Amino acid sequence: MPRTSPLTSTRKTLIDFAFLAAAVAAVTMAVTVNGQPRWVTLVVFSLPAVASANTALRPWDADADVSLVLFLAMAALGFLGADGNEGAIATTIAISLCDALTWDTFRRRRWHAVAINIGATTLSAGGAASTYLLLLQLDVLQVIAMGASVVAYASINICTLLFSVYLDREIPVKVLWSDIRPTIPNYFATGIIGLLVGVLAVTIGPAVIVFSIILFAISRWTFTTFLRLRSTQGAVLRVFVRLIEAKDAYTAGHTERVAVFARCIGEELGLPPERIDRLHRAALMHDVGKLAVPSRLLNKPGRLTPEEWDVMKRHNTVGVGILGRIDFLRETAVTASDKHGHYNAPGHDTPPDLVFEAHIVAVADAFDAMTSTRSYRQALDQSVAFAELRKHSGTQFNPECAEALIAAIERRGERYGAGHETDIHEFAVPPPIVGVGSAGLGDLASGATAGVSSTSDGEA
Amino acid sequence: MIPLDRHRPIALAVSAGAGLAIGLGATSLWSGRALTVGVLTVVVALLSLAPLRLRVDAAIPLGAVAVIALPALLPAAQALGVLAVGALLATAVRTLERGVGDGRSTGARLAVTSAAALASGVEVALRWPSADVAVVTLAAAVAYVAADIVVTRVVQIDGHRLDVVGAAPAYVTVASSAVLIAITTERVGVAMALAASLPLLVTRFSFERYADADATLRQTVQALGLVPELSGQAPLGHSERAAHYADALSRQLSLSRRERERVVTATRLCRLGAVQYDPPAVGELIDQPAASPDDVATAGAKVLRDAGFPTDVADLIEVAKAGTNATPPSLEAAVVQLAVAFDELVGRDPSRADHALALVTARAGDGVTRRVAAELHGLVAHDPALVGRAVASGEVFQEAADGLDLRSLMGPDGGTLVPFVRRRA
Repeated sequence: MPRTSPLTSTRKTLIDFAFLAAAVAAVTMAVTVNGQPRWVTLVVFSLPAVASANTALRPWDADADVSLVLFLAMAALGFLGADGNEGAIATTIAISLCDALTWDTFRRRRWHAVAINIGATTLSAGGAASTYLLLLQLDVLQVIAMGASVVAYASINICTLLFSVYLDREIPVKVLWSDIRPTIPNYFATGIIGLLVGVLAVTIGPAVIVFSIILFAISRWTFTTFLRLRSTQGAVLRVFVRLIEAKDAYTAGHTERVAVFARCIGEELGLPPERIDRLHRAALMHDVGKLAVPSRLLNKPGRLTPEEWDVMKRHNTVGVGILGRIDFLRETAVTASDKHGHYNAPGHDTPPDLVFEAHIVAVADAFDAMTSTRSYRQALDQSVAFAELRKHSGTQFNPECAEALIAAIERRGERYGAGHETDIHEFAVPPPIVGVGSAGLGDLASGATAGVSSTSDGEA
Repeated sequence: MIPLDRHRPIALAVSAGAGLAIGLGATSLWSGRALTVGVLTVVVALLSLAPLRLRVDAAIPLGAVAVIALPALLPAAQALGVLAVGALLATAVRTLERGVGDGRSTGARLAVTSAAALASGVEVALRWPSADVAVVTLAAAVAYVAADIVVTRVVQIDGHRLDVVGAAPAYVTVASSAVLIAITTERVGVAMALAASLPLLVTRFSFERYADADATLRQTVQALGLVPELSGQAPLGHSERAAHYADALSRQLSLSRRERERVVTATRLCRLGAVQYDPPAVGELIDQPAASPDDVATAGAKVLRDAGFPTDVADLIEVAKAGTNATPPSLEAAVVQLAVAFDELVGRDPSRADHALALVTARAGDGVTRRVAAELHGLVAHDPALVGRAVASGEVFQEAADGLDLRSLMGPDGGTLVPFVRRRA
């Protein structure tokens, strides 16, 4: 989890002023060099831009936002660029600012965000418009001018945002970049289409803009609905997690911690965002087989008999098998299945990337099992857990995944295990300091052969 | 079930080439090049096989863009030739790919919609020779949509009946794109037709993401409905079968799409609260049920609300009180209650349907329940295969449970839907 270090108010104010000063300088230069905004064009394009910006989707979910404001600003640039180009830069900047000056930011008095957004948007739009007009004047092919303009917009926008967020919260640039990277295609899609539509509008008439806006509005509506569905999907996964944890009273918080550790490993290994999302989902569901295991077995305080152990294993396997009949859970079933998590397991027909994700979840699972207090022993120290992960690397655990988790935790300076637990279950009989046996499923294999119910989730 | 991401790369590639191909083809036709007519025909066929889908029951062929745009771009005879051969090609490919049934429905849909769009576009162009290309295209679009609504009332697409309201954004999208492509091609030329098709690509991208999220959510809810069954609180396949009945009843009662989805989701999840109550061990003697159906409904609704699930579904579960004879406060609640009760009586044996119908009808106390029971009666009489299909939908999970007696989780009378009320051994 990224550390945040709030800025002092003085430093924050200085950053705000720097961004606002840059915006004022850019606007002054635009008006001086290219003339005042074209007011009719500005009003016509700003009205839908204002409407769009004030019904904006949540910023954190902007991984493929269909930005009407960027589309409209670029359409105005294309339109004015093909129509004498005077005032094009200032008009483009003014329309783009509709994205920065939303009612919500004012209502919530987010002055810092307003200042940063004004600076970033002004510089991006000004840079894009200047690049486009300059290349047109140099008689460069129009398609190249369009591409260069969008590249300018995207680069300036991304750089200023990275810079400001880094200064603001000291989030590592790598993490920020992984958040921003998915938005890049959006700049090109909406930016270039906007420019093209603007150019076409000069030749064909406003019908082009009207029909394009209809299409973008539909896209935007669809995307908003998509976000709602995704939020509901998150709620369904939370229900699953609650039900799984309700079955096994001794492992409170385990599922979500495993998902966090799995995400850490994925990020440390540089997996792409969509794969990390899948990994996170799979980790949340890794104990789904427990749902088919009778609670009286999961929560049995003593050791399981070999027969009970057999029932537990079979029910887990069948539970995973049944849920695996559903497409969405088919991939998850791989991580929920014991056989794929073990590094030395024999080859299967499963795709390698899913097996690798199962290895990641197995490491995350084992680490959390070792650093949590269970009915059969108290939480181990983090250093002991690291040593165990390394000891079994190459046999039980994938060495790459184990080292990635250790590196991520050490780099972030986080502490887990004895003395650092957040979710502590109250046991009727205090667990011993060391020992085996538990209430989970993952490490049943070793215990079962010895007739012992050593069932900490994946414990080595 | 929807295979996620299967056709996306092909469809995207086809979409990308669409604008260019249409523009190239249309322009070249004016110079009379036969090769380009052939290319255009293939493009129409390919686009007709690529869906523009919001959901599985709200998909229209991407080829609609070409079908709508062509009457304004080509002379009537050439447009007719391109559309006819394109439709034949698409039908042949679909038949080879998915069989005669799907091929026939694809062909029928394409033939009817193409004929309507072409007739309308040509009629407007002939009646008003000075009409703008946008007007001709819009006329073709209106005719296309009307014909598609009619034809999809008769033929099923991918095994589903088209949800016209759900497909409205897709209709607006193809109509707008067709107008853009047509006027750009006519007034500017070939190259800009590509530009005009780019907004369609962005829209399609949004549609795909939405469709995938929708499918994933449906499947997750489906999985959640299985949880009580895995825990031994209900017979395996019950949620699937009851959802099948609830869906059919909702359609029969002409509930809106949103209401139907709420009813089906509530039916799937109405036993969720039971998971909090562990079933007694096999042979265990109990006097009192661990929890009443009332408790189960309340507990299930609470779990969903706490997790941030849409409250309307949780509310419906709570008021429907599935498994009881409580008077349902609404039509939706009555559908949930009756679908669950009917499956409880039929289970995996379709031959019990008549007896089950008689029982639920006899038990129906109030007006709303009686109405729903009567509709269920009519539904089963009109479509006797309904029960068989519902049973088959639950059998998918039964296969995975082979080798394990989930009944052992439920006690000696495993199979009842009221596992909380166990008889003394």
